[in-house]
Amino acid sequence: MQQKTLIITTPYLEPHRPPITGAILTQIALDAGHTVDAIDININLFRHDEKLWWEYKKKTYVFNYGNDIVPKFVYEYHLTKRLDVDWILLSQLTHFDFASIYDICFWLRPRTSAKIIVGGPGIESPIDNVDTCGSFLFKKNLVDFYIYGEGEYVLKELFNYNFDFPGINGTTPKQIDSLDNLPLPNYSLYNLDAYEYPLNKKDFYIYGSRGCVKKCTFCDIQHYWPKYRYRPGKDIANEMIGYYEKYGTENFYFADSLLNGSLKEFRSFCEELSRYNAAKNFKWSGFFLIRPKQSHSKELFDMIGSTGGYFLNCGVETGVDRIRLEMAKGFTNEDVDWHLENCSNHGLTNQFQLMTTWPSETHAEHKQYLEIFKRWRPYVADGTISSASLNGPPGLLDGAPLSKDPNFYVTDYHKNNIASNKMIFYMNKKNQNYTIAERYQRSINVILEAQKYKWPLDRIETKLIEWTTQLKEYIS
Amino acid sequence: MSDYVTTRTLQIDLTSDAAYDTHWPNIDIVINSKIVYSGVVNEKLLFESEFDTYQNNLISIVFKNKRFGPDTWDTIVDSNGNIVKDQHILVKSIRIDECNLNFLISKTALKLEDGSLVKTNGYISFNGIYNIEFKEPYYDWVHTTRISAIKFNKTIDSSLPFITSYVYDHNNEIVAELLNKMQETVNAAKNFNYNNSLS
Repeated sequence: MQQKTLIITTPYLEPHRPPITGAILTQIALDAGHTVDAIDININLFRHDEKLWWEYKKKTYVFNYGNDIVPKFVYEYHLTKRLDVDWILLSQLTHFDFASIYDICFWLRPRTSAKIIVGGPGIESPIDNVDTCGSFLFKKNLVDFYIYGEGEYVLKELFNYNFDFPGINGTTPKQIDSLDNLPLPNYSLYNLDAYEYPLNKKDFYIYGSRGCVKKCTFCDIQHYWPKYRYRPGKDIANEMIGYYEKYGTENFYFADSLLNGSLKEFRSFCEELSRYNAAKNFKWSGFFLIRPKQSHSKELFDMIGSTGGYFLNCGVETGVDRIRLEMAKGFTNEDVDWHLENCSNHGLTNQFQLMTTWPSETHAEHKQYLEIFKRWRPYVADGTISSASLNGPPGLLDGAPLSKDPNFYVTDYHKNNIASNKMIFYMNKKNQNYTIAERYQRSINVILEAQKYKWPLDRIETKLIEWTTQLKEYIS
Repeated sequence: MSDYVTTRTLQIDLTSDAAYDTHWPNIDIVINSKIVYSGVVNEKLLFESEFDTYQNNLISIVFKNKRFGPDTWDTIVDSNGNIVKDQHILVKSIRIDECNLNFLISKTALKLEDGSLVKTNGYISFNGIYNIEFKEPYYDWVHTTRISAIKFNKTIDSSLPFITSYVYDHNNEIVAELLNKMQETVNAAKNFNYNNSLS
């Protein structure tokens, strides 16, 4: 008898595009021969009442879980009649999305006999000194299976009742070697008219790689995906063309860590797009690695500009070369100058990801950092820098090299606190001036300097509320 | 003219076509009343020049040699009235210092000899003056002029701050209020001693 699978996307993800994870899970279940149903609770709540969506979203700013994270009428309205299935698939993107996953599992469990499976990068985050989010849900009997690592092959095995495959219920996952034959996202079950598309036109996530060529010390991607793998550029271009021909989609956002990790495949991607006439109207965007001039020639920027490159999201992180070197980012402010000059020539827009400070940053370096807002102000004026996303002081992510630094410690006061506070409220033996108050003061200084030179700050209201809430937690 | 402010660099990238190979567009480029280029544009011209700026500035491209009869026409049409050759210049890009000012190309009209204005999108095919005005402080002017051309979907309000900035415009009063609240909390954290709080 044909098995039935329900895929649920939970709040509170960005409402700008249909969910890529749900779309990939859809294709995996279809490939397994299942009857598939998929629903995006996130967008349904957003469309029902944006203000309500926002009010509830705020509850997830501080790591939290309970059963009041999503208004229950949303589940009742959208899910009640869909629960007669064999499998329910859920995905947790980050640590902070645990609240929604816990909430929905708590609601689902007594209402369905389906086997509930959770996966996604967030499921491996620690919830306390013993459990990850996944193992916690399993011990509470809120899920039947939790999956670490990549789900494509694991799910296939689970659907065949092989429960011993690596990655299932706490076993060490096996990384997939090649992305070439993995199922592509299938968006056909989603209401594509429901999304808050950034440019008011259909816009899809796609991916061209997993993992990252860089080993930035603050990032945990290398822990989850040790090996960098990428798809042939030609295949990515043809996937986009396929969406255009099927849905009329012209705008795309790469969900990768970096869209130009492999320069060879990136060039091949651009070349393939340049051969398809309708692609001249495409706009593609994503995270982009800034490299020195020797690697990113003028000719490369010409290619990006002529094939629909539109919005590049760049991890610039700081204005201090020494710190960027310590982060292992591998480029300098001069390289950023070169990048901006070429982007300006082609009308490419950039968002800069910036941390507001760094554990080894001195007072003098903090002042040096503030100078970039004046230095790159011309590119803000002409729109080459469309915004900066200020990401606050870095947290200590479990799988990131930074968290292994023996100089970092957590005060007794916060040792007994929940895991996310240890991640945020750590101290540095080698830089005692880097107090909790000082790092948030530097965040304010960065905002004020950015405002002085008219840098648009992405979602700054959200960040200010989030940081103030965190700081109140510290002094409470 | 007001007082000197600074020296900047202008770059204009033009292409051109002619109805007859012997008669290419003849133009002047004028910056703040000084003619800085006068000559033909034979297929293309990449013009670059330093110039002094004042509080109000005017850059003009003057197109002046197109013929509209009675004997010679620099627009050639076929028997169906379709243009087959047209003497013109095309403004491909304009930069002053680091800033790309291409957003001005579609906004800037051509002033004809009779004083009327026509939209061009950078395609100049009549005799006339293509005027670009700008002010000092320059970067403020670029920023304000460019932003005024952006149409946001919505203006942000306090209840919807999650959405990406390129969909919403910010409400600066709300940001200022949130900054004040955060500064108050930072001040409290500066005075906070966690050892005391344990006792």
